[in-house]
Amino acid sequence: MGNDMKEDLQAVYTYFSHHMRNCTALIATSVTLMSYNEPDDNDMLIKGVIEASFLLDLFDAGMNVCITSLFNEPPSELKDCIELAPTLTHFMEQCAGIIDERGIELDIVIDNPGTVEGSVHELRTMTGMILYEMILQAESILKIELRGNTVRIYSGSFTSAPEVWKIYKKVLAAGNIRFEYNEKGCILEFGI
Amino acid sequence: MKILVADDELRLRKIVVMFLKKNGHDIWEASTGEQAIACLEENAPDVIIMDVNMPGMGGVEACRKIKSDTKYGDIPVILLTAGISDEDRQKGLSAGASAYITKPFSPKDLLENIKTVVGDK
Repeated sequence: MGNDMKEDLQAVYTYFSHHMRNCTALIATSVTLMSYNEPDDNDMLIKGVIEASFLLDLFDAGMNVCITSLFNEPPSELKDCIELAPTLTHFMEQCAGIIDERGIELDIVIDNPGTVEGSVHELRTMTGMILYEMILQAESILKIELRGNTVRIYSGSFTSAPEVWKIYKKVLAAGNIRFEYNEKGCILEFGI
Repeated sequence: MKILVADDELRLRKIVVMFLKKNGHDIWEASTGEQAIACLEENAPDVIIMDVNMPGMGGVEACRKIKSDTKYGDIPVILLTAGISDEDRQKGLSAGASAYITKPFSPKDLLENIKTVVGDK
């Protein structure tokens, strides 16, 4: 195994392990805390557990997509038509709790949204993980613009792209998606 | 007991804080190592619970700074981390941490660790 592969696998392991362990820690702590509360007080905890479970599923799928790509397996042959607008809005609905708790104001613009052909599993997973990272780094406002086949995501507080995004870039390029990022945010251009 | 909890994962921090409050503790919160150290300027916790992986100054570096400061060096630090390797654990303990807890953790284990490092206050 070459050094580049080792570094890439380490970056994948570090990133996904961190997020998955935070999700499992949240679930374990929430469930324990529920036993101290009156049943009516547990709504917030239950929502958090559901969200953490959704994210665990997302990160498991994301790890699979990244490792498949690192091992140079061909991209999925199963292509489908994917509508970009519901892909984005569905994910943001799943993360409504964390967005609300962090006090993030969402500014979503959808203008003439596109439909692209690709692997539903890969596209939804990668888009979701990128959106989640942007949510985590947003402090007050998160702007998401979908115009045609291009999504721009930015916030005033995006400070550092995780190392694993270099691997996302390769994964997405293999699926005909351009992924660029800088200190302000990122762009996903589908169907290049 | 007075406890400083530093973790950038807002939701997990809130749940841990809620759990500790239910157990009768007073809590201060921080989301970075810098904030945790700044908090010590004005408050005197009995114990600090700190995540290792935080943006800016992480938990290990913050722990090292706290333990080398004559004003705060006696405050026990419990590190919470997603890292599971022996090397990670060694780094944390070398920085002066009194305990090192791996995520996911049982909140009851956290309470046990607090009691162990602080004693019954």
